[in-house]
Amino acid sequence: MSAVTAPAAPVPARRLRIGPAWRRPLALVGVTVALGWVVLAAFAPWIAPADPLAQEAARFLPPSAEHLMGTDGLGRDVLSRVVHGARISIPLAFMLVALSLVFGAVVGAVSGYVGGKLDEVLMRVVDLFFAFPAIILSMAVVAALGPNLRNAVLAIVVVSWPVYARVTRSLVLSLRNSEFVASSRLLGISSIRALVREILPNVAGPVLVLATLELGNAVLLLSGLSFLGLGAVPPTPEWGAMVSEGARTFGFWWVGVFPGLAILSIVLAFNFLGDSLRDALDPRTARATRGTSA
Amino acid sequence: MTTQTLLEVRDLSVDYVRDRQLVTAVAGVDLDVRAGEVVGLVGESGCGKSTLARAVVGLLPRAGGTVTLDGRPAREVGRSARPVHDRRLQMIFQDPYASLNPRRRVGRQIADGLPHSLTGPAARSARVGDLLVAVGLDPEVAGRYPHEFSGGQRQRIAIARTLAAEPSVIVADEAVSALDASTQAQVADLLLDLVRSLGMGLLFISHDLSVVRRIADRVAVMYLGRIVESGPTAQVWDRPQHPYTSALMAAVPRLGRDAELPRALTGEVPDPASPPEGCRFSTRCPRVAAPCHVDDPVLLPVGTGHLAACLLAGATGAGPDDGRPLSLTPRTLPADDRHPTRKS
Repeated sequence: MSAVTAPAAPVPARRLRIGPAWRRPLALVGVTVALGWVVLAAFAPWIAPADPLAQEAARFLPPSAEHLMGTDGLGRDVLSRVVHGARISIPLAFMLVALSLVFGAVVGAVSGYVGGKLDEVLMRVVDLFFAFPAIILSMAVVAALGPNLRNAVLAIVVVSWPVYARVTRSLVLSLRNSEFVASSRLLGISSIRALVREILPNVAGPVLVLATLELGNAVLLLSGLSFLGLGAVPPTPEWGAMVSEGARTFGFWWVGVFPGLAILSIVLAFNFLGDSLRDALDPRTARATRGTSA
Repeated sequence: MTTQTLLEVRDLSVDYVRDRQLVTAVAGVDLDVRAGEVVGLVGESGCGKSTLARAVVGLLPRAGGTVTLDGRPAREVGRSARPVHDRRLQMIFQDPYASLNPRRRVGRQIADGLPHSLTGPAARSARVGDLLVAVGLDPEVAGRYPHEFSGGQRQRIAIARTLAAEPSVIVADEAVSALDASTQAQVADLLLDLVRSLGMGLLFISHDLSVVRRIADRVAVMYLGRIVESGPTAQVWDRPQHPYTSALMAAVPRLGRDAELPRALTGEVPDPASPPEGCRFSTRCPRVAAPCHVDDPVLLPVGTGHLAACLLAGATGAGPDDGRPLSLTPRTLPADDRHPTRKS
């Protein structure tokens, strides 16, 4: 979360052209893999060879030409389940991130702009959330609400909004006293309009970078909760739940490994994407082509 | 001939809290800016120039004193939109890279300041074009973003932005200090031209004495939150009455002078949280005398329109002695005597 905190200088308004930051190998891998998963999710019924819920084949068939990733304990095609799993993880990850971003950014913007006692109180609340490991806190929330996918999403929103609040606050704080805000106020722009029109557009870039990086975390947390039996309920082809089943049936490695690789590839892809986005938006690295990013 | 006084600052003071201690950054400043006049404000960094500038326009809360613009009080900037009257008091900032929003087109930013009475997009964009021309830019550039301009061009855009509000007084806080030497002169001259042609007042704050000398009609010298000397620029330059002013002048490198190090002031500017007893300059003054550690001098006339806050002013300076004995008890003068009218 410290990766994108407070670049004091606002990012210049450059359009996202295909700059050097996007031509690096990791950026290309990130874009390709992430896009690939989005396409798989969108066209899953046409791409998947079988119905993900149909128990048509024999149990625990190893990978073969007919079942590229084998079959699971109920005779379902693992490949089809992995492909359909994207339809659950990806839209939910975007929704999660959008909800946390909106809530966190509103809290952060108010906290940073109003300042004073309100800022103190809100930031102590944020600290409270940071004091617990995300997975523990979300487990507690799901345990309280009851284990299902909707509550898992809610729980992850509850644990992930504070990051956005803190980053937004620090950006708003540094921009609140900037000269362009001061000069706008002198020209008769009201305080609230200055926040919306002068400050927030300058906050958007770094916060979107953070959101992209957090997409991977959202996928991971969601599968984590499902793995622990606190998310998706059984017949749902959710990756975390599938890994969990694979862990119970250890001799049949294909049951858990393939959904695990799916999680790994998409989390990495979102992280590469976030890094590239950050470099592309950062005027200091936009021109320099470096092999790796921090 | 008397020109109209546009900005009257009376006994302005600004406090802030640092380490739970009250620091008086500006300790009772009087300033006047008249129509078509450039008033230069000079002083070392840390003397309170920028604090004064921000308090005058209302960006910082004032601890005391009044600011009057066009005969009516100019209030501090609150949460709501600034009242139309107060918008006639504008400010230009030091950093041309920080005073424009990087994410908005410059034309739109200039249009922020246009009066609401000017309606219709066509009329407004025509006015933006006129303002760009007035600051020496092509009206076509209105659609560009700030990063497409150089520092000098950005400062011109910042000036156009303030002009949109039809200001009667502009406070320029180190407005040319961040620019290249050649650009500095151009922007300073632009400001001077605008002041003369539009009949505005300009409070030009700078630590750069040569720029101030170039454009200021009157100059005020600030030290540790107070004005210590003020007067017509040429007079202050040729016959400085306050030892601090003399030291500042001596620190300006000059052509044709032997390689002689300027008489440096000893020590640092004292902490405004605990100003020295008596005269605020007494800890660094080369001419310090015993009474200086006791009495805090006030601004008194030492020449035509020329004031200095030094117990020894007139007695030892090269300026015209007004015949007063070396007074150790500060006198209070009638208000109009304190700010004699400038002959123009």
